[in-house]
Amino acid sequence: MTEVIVFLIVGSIAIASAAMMLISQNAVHAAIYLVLNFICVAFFFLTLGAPFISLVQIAVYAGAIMVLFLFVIMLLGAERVTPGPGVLPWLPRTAVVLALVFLLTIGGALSSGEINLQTPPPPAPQVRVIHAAEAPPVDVYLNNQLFAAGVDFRAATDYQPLAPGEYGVTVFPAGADPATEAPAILGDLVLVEGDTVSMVLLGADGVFQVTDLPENLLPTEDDQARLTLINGLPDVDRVDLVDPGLPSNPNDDEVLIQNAGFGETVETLPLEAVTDTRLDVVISGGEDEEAEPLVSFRSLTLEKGTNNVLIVAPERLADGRVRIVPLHIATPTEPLYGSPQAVAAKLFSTYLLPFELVSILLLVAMIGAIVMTRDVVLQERRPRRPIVRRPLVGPMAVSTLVEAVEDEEDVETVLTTEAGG
Amino acid sequence: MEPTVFVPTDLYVMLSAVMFVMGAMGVLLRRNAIIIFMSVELMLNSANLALVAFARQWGQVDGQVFVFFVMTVAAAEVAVGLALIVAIFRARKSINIDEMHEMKG
Repeated sequence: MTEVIVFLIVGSIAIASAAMMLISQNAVHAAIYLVLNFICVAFFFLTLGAPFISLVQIAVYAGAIMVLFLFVIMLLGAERVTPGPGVLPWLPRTAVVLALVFLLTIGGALSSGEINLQTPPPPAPQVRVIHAAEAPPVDVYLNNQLFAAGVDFRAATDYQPLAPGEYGVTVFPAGADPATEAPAILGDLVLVEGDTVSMVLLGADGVFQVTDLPENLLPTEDDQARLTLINGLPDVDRVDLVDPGLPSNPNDDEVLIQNAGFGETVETLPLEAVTDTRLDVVISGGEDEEAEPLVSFRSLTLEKGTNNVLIVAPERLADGRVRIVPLHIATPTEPLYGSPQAVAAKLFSTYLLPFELVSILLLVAMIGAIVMTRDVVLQERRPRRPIVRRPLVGPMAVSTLVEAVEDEEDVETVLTTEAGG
Repeated sequence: MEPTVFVPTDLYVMLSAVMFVMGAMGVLLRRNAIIIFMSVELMLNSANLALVAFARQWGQVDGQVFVFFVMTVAAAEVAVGLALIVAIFRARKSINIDEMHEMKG
């Protein structure tokens, strides 16, 4: 209820300042009332979960644009606005009638529910494949439709949207024909709206399985990351994830995740984001504190705002032995609604072309403003001075007798003229 | 993440409509070119408010990206418009739009 009261107060300030802008007789006062109105709108942007737009509103609108207005008002000395009789005497009454009609239309549309204010349907489920099985590259089919082709070991595909429903998962070696060959791995997948699922392929030595790991892509808490562990070793019963703490202190071990069985999904853990840490995977129920860990995630970095999946997976080496490798797959979560990251992500992906067009428009506007305000006097050309053509025989030519000398007679003529003059 | 909805979107749309109408009245009734420009800015702002309100309603940032574009276009419009006003004032020593009814230089 408090929110509605605050809305009404700020809303009435916004309307009052807009009205004062309309009726004030001084253009400077009108501009300052408009700034007040813009600040009220910026406040509404904040309450509507748009902090970035709100600050841009204050900086660009209430700041830059209004300063430009005030500058032009002062430059022209046009702050006194004298109301005179308009050329169109019927305009005021018509404007009032049109305004009332517009408001009644909007009010009627809102009250009769013609503006759709229902909450939107949840987004389509998103699915990806993570290959952590001891196997060559694979093709993944969902209901016999190719979903991901040629997924390498350790690789994770991008999320792809799928329709909700039940899917049968079949995995074949890359390039195999699903009509003739038997699938290497079988699984199933149930999707409901709003789900985000990673299909993790696990196993070795003929024991394979697909684990459907539900992921939460909603924004994390500040400075936190999410962590989960998947045991991909069919011959190891259960494993724990242990934070060994300081190497010098053997007693500060902290068990983060316990009893992760083969192919089981365990609870996702929120953790403080850390860089260059070490986590150990040990076999559950081990009595010996000093036992070597099964495998260690060394120089592990958990960035804030990411989902981190840690998988212990078998890998066959070139000489035929199987070793255990740690896999770390980090996925960024969605940015917070209305944050600069969220706006920029849209701006530079979906709206890249409009963004470029708008920047060209800004450039054109800049050039247009410069051309229009250029001083007209500079454009007028000065009248040309009449060019004085000098005779071919100048003083220099006369004294040197070089010009126009063609034969002896001419020289004599010139000399006599000079003597006579 | 969709923020919790406190104030219904209807109220924001109503406020935006009222502000839009006031801007339109300013454009129609005032005769000073600068005040008319400010009224146009008011109309653009009310449209922005409606866009952000609907963006929150749907939990999508697309509406906010649109507001960003509207602001950019408004900045371009202000630059060109004020340049026009300055040029007209130089030529006619007045920015009353009733005196600008001839298409002569």
